[in-house]
Amino acid sequence: MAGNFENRWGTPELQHLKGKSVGDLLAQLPGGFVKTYGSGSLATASIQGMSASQTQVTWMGVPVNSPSLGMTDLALFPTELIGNATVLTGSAAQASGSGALGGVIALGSPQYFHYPSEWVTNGSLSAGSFGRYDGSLHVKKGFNRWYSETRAVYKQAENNYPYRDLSVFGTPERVLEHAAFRQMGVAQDWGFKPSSRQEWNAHIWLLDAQRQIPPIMGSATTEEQQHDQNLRAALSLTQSWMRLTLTHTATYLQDLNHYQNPTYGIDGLNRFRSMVAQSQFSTDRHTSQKWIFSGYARYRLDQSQTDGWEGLRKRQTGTAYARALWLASERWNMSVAMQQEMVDGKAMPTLPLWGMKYSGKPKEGAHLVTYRWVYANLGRNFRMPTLNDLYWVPGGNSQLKPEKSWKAQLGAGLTLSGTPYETTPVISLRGELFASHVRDWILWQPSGLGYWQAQNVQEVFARGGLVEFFFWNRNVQPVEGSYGNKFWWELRANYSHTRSEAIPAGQGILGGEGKQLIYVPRHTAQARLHMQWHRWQAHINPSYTGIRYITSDESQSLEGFFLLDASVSVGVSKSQSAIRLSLQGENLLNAEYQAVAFRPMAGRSALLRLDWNLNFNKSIK
Amino acid sequence: MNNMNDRLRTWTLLALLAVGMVFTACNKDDEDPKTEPETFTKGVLVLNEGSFGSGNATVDFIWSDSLNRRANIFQDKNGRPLGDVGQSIAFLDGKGYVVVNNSNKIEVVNPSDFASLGTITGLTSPRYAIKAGTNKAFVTDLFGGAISVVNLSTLAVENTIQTGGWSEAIASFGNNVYVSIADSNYIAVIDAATETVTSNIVVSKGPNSMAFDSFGKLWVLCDGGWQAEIPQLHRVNVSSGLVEASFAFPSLNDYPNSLQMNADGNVMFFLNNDIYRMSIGETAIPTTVFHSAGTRYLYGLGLDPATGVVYAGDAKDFTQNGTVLRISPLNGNLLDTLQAGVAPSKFYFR
Repeated sequence: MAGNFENRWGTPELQHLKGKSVGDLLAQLPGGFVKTYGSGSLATASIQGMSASQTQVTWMGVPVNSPSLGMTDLALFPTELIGNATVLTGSAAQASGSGALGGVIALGSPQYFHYPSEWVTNGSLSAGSFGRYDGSLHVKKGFNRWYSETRAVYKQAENNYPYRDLSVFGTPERVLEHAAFRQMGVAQDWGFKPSSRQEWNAHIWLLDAQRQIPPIMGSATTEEQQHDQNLRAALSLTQSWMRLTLTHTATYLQDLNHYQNPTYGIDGLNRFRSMVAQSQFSTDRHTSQKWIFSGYARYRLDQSQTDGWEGLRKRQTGTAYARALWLASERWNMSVAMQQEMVDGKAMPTLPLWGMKYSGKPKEGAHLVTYRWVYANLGRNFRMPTLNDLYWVPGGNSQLKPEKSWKAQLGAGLTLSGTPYETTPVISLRGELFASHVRDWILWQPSGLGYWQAQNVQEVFARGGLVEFFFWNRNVQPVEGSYGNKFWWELRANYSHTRSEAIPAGQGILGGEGKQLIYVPRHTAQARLHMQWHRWQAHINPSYTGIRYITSDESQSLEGFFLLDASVSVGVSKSQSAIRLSLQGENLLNAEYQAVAFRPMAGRSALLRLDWNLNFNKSIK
Repeated sequence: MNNMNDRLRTWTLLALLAVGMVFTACNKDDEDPKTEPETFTKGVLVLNEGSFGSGNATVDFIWSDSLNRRANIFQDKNGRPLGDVGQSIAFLDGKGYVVVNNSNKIEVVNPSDFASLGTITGLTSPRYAIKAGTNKAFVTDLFGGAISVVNLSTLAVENTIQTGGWSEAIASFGNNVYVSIADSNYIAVIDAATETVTSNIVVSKGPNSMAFDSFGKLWVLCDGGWQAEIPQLHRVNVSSGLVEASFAFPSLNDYPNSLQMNADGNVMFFLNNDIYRMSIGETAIPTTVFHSAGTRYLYGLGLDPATGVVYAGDAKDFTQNGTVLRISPLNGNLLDTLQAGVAPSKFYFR
């Protein structure tokens, strides 16, 4: 999509993030902030000043946010089960459907033009501090017309780390209790190409997660716990004729969330399932054509059953989306898109989108290529109230209006690189400004009826900027098993500033006008240094998260914190096998911090990991 | 759908909201100039409930004469926060017992300086405490399904009295203790000496607060169980165990709460969005507002026994500091608006 910048993690990048979740990916995103209760615990993301429920997560192109809660627990997406992840923060996020006011995290599987013919298996085993054990397996095999790719993961941790109890005089050291978790999952992809013009794909995702929920500091430990199960399945058929590609997809989503607090006698079972049918088209670029068209039509049925209401609640959504990309010249391209949704037979606001990109012609010096680009986008979006917002008894408000937003981004970048086959460093800089305005922001507020009620109570104006810096000293990173003898390194750094302010409007108990939204840091910065020499690799990852207000009048806050993670690893290869042994350290400076108030986070920790890679048809030097 | 399920659902929702939206607390509140003495003996203690799940309950003190305020006196004195959801304070035998609901505890303090004297643990979800004999207190409980009997010397829970539901308001008269069962429709009568429920007085749904008048009659305010039935105010003859009079509110949408009796025991105040004033001799629920809430969310009420001044807490949206309104008992006019912590809900006059 022209005019939008993509942050993308492919399978190689995700290999370095084993043991993490999509929440950890988002934490690397400039302008993103992940609010986590600790390892394996609930993690939600705020992108460019918006709320967690305004961050959309898609799996195989279909939004998977809970229709009841609106948000997605990113801890339930282990990186080991994901083929690739793309984050879009610009207005193009609306292509996934409405709701992504902050951005969209698109999770998918690799697309193969030719199926990989070799057997590839890789896996990992790790053990670390606080009772942490992980294991993963990835097996991929393709034949002429079909392929199969299996990913599996198992994780567990006691999370019994020491912390200073701020609720007790003298802040004595204690050990966190009742914070263990166990997670296991499988993701399976199949592909079948009966002809060069036809492809079938099937995807299945199964995840089971059990989590204990520790009390906040100062509260007695209860038996609070949560059990989540996710089943996702998708079947698609892609057909090509001339320059036209059609893809028909059927998707089934089923989530179960079982919350229990026996101490309080609470036993809440929430289930939701969605059925989605989608037909998508796209045209290829042709040398004589300057236009590329794409779009889709989607029907979605959401069903939800919770303790908040009797029976089953349903929502039917029809979506039509069309986009035209105009390749005006080698330097300019522009896209326009339009989306229209019908929800339970009622037409929602039409969502227009515009984007453009200017790519300067690369200028070549003796050993240097200078490349500049500028991009901009503008779009409208909305987010439907969740089923909880509408129907929870008591407090659900069937009169709620959708949240409506406008968002704009303007970015520019500059890359200096060596000419082809040169080994001069590559430097890249990117800057981006963004602004978004949301009307009819939905909050639960005291109603005067003795309970809280969902209301459209305020407007939010978020704006800010980010800068990113990349530096790498060689164009090509040595691949595993083919160890170069030169020192290779890469540095990435970013800083973002976000102002996200409430503007009271309409009815409701209002406050915090002109104040920063709670749990949205104004300042975040981080850097990643990746080094490789012979068989050795090292990563250093410092990050800073600024002060976060935790009351809407900015009267109370959590201090900013600085974290330093690092790892060192050594690889050994023989015949067709490669093994890598890694030692990872997190929070090496042992910073005491809270991502959520009175929820202690882990101090210094270590993890020892063994990765192996077997490729039966490829010789490894 | 019963009322208990409603409460559980709301509790679950609060937990979801705390997880999803998150309100919170940590750093110190704004401080007024410390020009006042360090003892809190002539003024009003304001209990700020805080945001659910955020551990930011606080206690403020406002001096009667100057109306100066000292914020967060518990943490200032003891070097640690009070806890999560400050529910109530009881003053028993010269000590203060601060009930911290979602921290499952009661902090025992010296009421003159709020220095910690101990902590009562082993409680499930404590709400209100009352003295019920020598060295003995009864503590009501939201989820425990029972009253806890606490030994005030050892600070240990020595017994529990099954009440069969959410025990909320508590008051004593003679040898009996009266406990409202907020998710049902009755008042449990407990013999303080034998620690047994001797009878139940049937009222209407959702008894949330109560007070004795100067004639020893127990007034019980019932909210109707969140629109399950019409809210009512009952006058109970505790001698006979019967409801003598009932006063119905006009609408299912009414949510009366925070019943307070004045020092003379002849005039009541309560919240129903706005503040209402009702003499014990009146024959119907007043239709005239004593003080309008306007756009504020009034969450708690208190009466200064010395002056009759009405104190009301504006909790706003529970995610920011609230305010305390001082209101004339004569005409309902606003006298002052004072700063408070998050969700000011209870007032205790010293």
